[in-house]
Amino acid sequence: MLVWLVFLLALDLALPWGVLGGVESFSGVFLFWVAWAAVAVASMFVLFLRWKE
Amino acid sequence: MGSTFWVWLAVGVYVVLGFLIAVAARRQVGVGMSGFFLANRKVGGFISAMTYSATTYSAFMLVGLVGLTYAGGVGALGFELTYLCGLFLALFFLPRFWLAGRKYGYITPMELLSDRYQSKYVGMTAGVLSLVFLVPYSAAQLMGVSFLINGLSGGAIPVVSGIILATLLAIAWSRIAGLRSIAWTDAFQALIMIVSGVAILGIVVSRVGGWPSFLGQIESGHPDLLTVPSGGGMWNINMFIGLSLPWFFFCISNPQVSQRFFIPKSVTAMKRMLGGFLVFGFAYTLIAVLLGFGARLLVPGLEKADMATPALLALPVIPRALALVVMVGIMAAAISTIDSILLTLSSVWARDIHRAVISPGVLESRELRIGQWVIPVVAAVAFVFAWQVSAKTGLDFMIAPLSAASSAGLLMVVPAIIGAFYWKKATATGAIVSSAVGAILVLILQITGYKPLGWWPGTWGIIVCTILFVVVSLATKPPLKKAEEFLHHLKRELASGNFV
Repeated sequence: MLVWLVFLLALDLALPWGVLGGVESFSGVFLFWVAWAAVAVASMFVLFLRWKE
Repeated sequence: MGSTFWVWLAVGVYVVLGFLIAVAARRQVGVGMSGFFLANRKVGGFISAMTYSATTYSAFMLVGLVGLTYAGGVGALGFELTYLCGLFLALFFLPRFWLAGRKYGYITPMELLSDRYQSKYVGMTAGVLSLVFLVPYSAAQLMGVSFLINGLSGGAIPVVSGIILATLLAIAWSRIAGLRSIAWTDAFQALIMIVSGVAILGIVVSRVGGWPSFLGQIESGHPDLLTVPSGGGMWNINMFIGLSLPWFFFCISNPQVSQRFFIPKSVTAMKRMLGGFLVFGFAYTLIAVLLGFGARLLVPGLEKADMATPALLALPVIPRALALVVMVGIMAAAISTIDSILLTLSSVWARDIHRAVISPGVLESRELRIGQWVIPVVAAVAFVFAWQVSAKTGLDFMIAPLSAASSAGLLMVVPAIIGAFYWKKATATGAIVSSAVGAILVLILQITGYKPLGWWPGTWGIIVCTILFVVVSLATKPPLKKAEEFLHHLKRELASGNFV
């Protein structure tokens, strides 16, 4: 899980200030961060839904 | 009738409803410290999720984050969503806090640290840091409310009136029934926040001509807002990291939030708390950022970016009733955060400073009374801070950076928290020295405005703090017996609950 988190955080910085740096449209950094967060939230759900009483 | 009348009427309805809920909650308030400050650790999943959401998301969102988006564009989205991603930490720490709280009866996160490190001075140090750094954060909430009421009344209601009102409500709702009244009013307020946010965004988008027009106008008129570092280089990577780093650790560094890790009544309630918060946070973040873009289209050229939301709500195209509901929603967001901070700080003072250091052996009833009397004192300090800061302008005094600056100071407790759960050799001296020196460094850098290599105070602070924590811990003697007992218990319980 830590590796996955580090990977997500690396993407969080690398793409907006790298590849997507010059894309001045909603389909650039904005869309990336929305999708990035959706993936992060979904993976958290997968992990904590396994918890049991 | 003028706008001032309607503003006061809306506030009046909100205040009456809030009091009714708080008083109803009082009927179920438990006895003692656990009853007052943790609702006896018996809070259900929905209420836990709502109080977690309302405590975390505050005036910072629909005032501060809107302002930050207005000023610098999409970087604000990344910053806030990075915070949400920080909830990964809750996957590790929520079950650990919860299990340890049930086993050892901790009231505050600081008490956990004191017990784990076998030194009351660890909790006291963390408690003092909370008292110092949560004041600007509380002040930011008070400013949010006051800017809003001032803007919506066309300046007729002075900023200071909003600050006074928010302060008094926060004191009242935290005093009435402690966490139970706060949790119930938080649930009510969280619903107002999300519903009013959706409604105002819908109106703003429709006034601009629908979604295609909204997106198109931003892309054609303000393309620099859709990239980083954006126009003027505001969102350079150093600023992003400087603001996001403390925010990423927010769920464990801010005691008003981590104290909520003690309250769910069951594992199911814990899962609902986390899931409900993630959904709420994702939606609320998008609403706030899109409103910031909308404000750039509808109210361009504002001198003070934090006035974007009030200016938006004051537009003639926004129905007056909706503007007032949104105002109440933001006010609810602010007050739900301040009262939680007041309650947590009062419990920290009573348990980790008064009982642990000043008067060991004090009766629990007296400890509780002391905690209750600390609430207005902390509120008064936050009031003075907000009053002073609200007269200033510029990025350094915008609500979002002020909030992040507070979290930068609280970040200095994070190595000690991680060490408590993951490192047997971590020591009390390491925890005290690292958090104290880190916090002093952060304070100095924030006050002087000095950013070596362009790195923000929180970045420097956490580097120095972590190094000190490791080095000093290795050089001093750890409380191995307690560490082994504590960690062994958690290991067994974590395995049986299928936790991470």
